[in-house]
Amino acid sequence: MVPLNEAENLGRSVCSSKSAKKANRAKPIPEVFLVRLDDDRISVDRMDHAERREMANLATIRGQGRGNGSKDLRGWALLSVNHAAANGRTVVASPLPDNPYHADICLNLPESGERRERQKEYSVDLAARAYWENPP
Amino acid sequence: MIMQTFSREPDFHCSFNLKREARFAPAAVKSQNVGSGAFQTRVAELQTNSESLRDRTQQPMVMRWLKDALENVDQIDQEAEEEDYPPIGDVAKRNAKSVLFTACQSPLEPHVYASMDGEIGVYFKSPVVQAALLILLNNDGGAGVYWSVSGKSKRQHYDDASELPIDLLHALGGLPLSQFLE
Repeated sequence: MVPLNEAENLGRSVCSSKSAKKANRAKPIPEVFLVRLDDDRISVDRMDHAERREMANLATIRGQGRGNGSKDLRGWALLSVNHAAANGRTVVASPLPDNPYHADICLNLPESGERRERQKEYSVDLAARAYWENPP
Repeated sequence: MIMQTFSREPDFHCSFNLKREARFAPAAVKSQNVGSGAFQTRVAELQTNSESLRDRTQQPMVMRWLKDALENVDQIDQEAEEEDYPPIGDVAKRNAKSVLFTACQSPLEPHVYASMDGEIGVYFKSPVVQAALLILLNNDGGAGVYWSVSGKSKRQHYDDASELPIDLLHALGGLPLSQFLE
């Protein structure tokens, strides 16, 4: 896999229940970029290195492994590596055995009482920079 | 630049829709047989539709999104349950509705959603410039405000959601957001 460059696009896949309100879940809202308190990395895919259909298949498989019940792919919140890596964040390529396009946005937040608040602040910053793309 | 984004949309939509209605109505009248009862009925229908359309396009932007946003709050329990999120209390719902009413002059339609921490999110994002504002209402009656403008992000927490800065919410209605988000 080629090294990361600033201009390439990262995609945060959004999956939700079939009956969930599509209007809310098919938008790059901050919740898309909010991770658990003990998690410092946001899992994304490097979108410019494969066809969208292949990326959709990977995201669908991943979505079905999360939470309760069946989850459908709603789309991706897309943003550039440059934007993802702003404000003290970093981006690292982290290929997985079943997903060579995997990467992480690292928040680099220290353990502290303010950590959750800073996670939320970052989620808004990332959402403000992101745009939406529907699956093929 | 931000001021233009928050203030020009309603006028743009109103003038566009009124012009379109005015252009199409006469063409429809010409195609009818003058003097027939059907024609007069059709004219009356067109006049009614025209007045209805004019009323709708002259409504302030508040009428465009407030109803939907309030409905989203009413349905927030279902959304939280489907996403396996913690339940959301009545105080958060009341405060979310209060925020929506206060911000209802904003031309930007907010997204109302359940958060994984059991809060209600009211999120505004500019469609043109890189600016966004999130208000999270929690079950203790407090609120967090988070914003990102031109690459800079900040946050503020309020133990009591009624202490949310009114000026900030009014800024969403057309005043320059940058004045309040320094």
